[in-house]
Amino acid sequence: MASDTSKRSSYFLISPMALIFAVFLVIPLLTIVVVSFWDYDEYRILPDFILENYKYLLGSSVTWSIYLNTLKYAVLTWVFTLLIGFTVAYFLAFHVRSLTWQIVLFMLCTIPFWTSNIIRMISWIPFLGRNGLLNSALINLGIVDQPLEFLLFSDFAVVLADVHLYTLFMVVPIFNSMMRIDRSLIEAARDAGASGFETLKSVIVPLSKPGIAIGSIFVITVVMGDFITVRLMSGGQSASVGLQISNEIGLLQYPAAAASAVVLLITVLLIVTALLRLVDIRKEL
Amino acid sequence: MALLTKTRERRPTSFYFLAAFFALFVLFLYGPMLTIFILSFQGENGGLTFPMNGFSFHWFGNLFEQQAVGDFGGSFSRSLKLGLIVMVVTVVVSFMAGLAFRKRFRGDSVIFYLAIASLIVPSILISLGIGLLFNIVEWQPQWFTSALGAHLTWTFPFGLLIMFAVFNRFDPSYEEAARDLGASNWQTIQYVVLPMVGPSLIGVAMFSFTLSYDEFARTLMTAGALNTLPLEIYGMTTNVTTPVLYALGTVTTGFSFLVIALALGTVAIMRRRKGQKA
Amino acid sequence: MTLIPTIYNADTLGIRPDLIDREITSWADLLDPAFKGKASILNIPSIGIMDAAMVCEAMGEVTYGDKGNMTQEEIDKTIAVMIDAKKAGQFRAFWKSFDESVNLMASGEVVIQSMWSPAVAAVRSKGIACKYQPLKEGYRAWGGGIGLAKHLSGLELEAAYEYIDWYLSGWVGAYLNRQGYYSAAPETAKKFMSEDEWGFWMEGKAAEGDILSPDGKVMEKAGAVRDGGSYEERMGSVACWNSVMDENKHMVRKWNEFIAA
Repeated sequence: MASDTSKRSSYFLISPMALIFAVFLVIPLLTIVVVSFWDYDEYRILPDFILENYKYLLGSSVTWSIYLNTLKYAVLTWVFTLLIGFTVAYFLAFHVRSLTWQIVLFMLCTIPFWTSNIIRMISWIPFLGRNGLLNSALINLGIVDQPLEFLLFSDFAVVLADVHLYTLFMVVPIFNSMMRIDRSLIEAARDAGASGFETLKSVIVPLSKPGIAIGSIFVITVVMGDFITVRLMSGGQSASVGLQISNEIGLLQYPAAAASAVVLLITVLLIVTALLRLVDIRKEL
Repeated sequence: MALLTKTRERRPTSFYFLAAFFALFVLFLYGPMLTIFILSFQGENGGLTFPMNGFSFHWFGNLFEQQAVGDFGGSFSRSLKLGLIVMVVTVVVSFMAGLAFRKRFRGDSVIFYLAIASLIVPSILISLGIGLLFNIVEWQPQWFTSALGAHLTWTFPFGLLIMFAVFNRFDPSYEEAARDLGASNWQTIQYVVLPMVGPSLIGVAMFSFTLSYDEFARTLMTAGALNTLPLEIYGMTTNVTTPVLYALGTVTTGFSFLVIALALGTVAIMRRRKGQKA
Repeated sequence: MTLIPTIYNADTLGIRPDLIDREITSWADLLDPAFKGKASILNIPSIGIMDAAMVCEAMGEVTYGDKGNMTQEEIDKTIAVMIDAKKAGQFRAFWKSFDESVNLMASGEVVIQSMWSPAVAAVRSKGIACKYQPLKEGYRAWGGGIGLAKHLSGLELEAAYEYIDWYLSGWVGAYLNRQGYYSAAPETAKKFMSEDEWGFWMEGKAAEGDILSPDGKVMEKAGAVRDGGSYEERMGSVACWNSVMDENKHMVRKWNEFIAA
């Protein structure tokens, strides 16, 4: 009987969350799937069952080049956020010795995040532009004599802004994993004659894997669905899957947008499933 | 002996390399904001980019005037209200869910995977899905209905995961002790569980407010007729040719610094008082 | 769907005369390799394709039956030319909104691009040289209007009609004219403009006093003449009008290929 009431109280306690997920996650996603089979004209969406949206999407070379481009951004951003994030987390976890300092340094990294993401993104434009701070500095120092053009409205600018926005999301979970590594393991490795690099390779990296996996999932899914960074930093010259969807929304071509959305969702789920094989999130918290 | 060597240990060379790397990282985070800071003092006829066209406080004043495009005051107050509602709902619902997950129940893994899915589904899909749903059933999207729901799908996973982390390390013997002393379920939660998980709930609150306050993609198709601040800002990136946006960036960053300084100051004062008492 | 016409204008290329040291005379100059990495075009498919067509025709790459209603083949050829130019690095950026074009031009990121007349005026009001360059092939014109939503009735419908009446009564028209657009009801707009303003914006006369923008900033000094001249000169050399083509869906898809290329 006791287990019966406790079960009932579990259901009571979980019901608000379950309800919100049902109404604002499950049903909307199902709606997208349904609408992706609908037809449309310039002004309306028309209930139907057609495969045209998918046929065009999957048959078009544009789709493939857009996916390749998006994956390129995702992979490049992932590599850089991982390298930078791991190094920063390593420094904070193993070289900063007092908790107070760890908190202060973390705060220092977090403050910029309280300014709107979009404002932080566009702040790169006057920095990297043809007459921007960086180019003026380089020219004044005599390092280059023509402004560097690749700095803005380019793939470089897109990846730079992504790395700028999302590295912290890599630092936090990796730092969290590192803090849970038993310090005596590291001493044991050192006592056994392992060099600093060997300790890093065979003790710290393997034990930080859960944090790395969680950070990677976060960064990759965000970049795969991004459209603002690509739009603003490429000067409208590059396409990404998210941008394609947002353009189709802008043209009121909801069924086409829904079909793109379904394909994107499947892609992201495949990537995440692969990453989850590396780590059991529920155990690692 | 071990202690002695630890305190006396000289910093290894790698420390200095890593510290320099960290400093560069911080510079990277703050660097571009410097351009915004400088450009927000553009002269009255200045544009969004260098060169500077004079020096003025014009754009800070302009921030509080009626804009040709954009309405800072209205959108800011909507974002603030929405953030606060999201915050309260997220704290309450995540806490309840956290309690529920301490026991196994049928469907628990479904909820768990829904939360994970909610985290990884690209935001624009949530926006599109809710927008379509409201369109089809002919409900009017509003910031306090559809946008609120869209934001909750974003904050719940974080709230739930933080609750997991908390309850995984939670020692149930305190509750047993309370119950042995005759406390009811509610009393146990009120007097034992809540005070212990309180700090984490504050964390959930701050986190969910920040996420909601800055959320853009999920609001795009769900906000209805009235914009939130991030939508307003996005609209202005393509519809404004003046540095008023930079003035906004400078003011909000300054405000964040102020809030953090106040918080740190309060903590320091409280510690000192505590120290004096002891 | 019927619209009551309210506004129209003729568009051409905008340039930064201080950063370009030769005469610009043709739409083809947009793809001149001399401006590699410094050109831009607007990324709104239905309008952008027309600018692209003006360019391709001027270059002699494509001949069109009717630029306002192109065939699939014409669209494909036009897009192919644009994709080649994009791959060669001709473009710095694409713009979607009026203000983006202003920012690109004002910052010097772009020195030649398809542009709208008021955007040129906005760049100039920042004290930066910018010219709305008349070209030998003529202008690309567009028009816009307001329509009534079909669910309106009773008081709402009356309010809507009242709004349209007000819109056409002159104040808005003068406001639009002062930005360099043309109001569809010029006679009413005239009442709200000074003689000097009317002379400058509509008749191609030199300004007698300073010409102010709608928000009161000095846009043109006394003595200036509007680029392209009078209303008759400008609208008299319109080469094509924007319109929705029969091949609209195909065109949008090809345009997306261009953007993704």
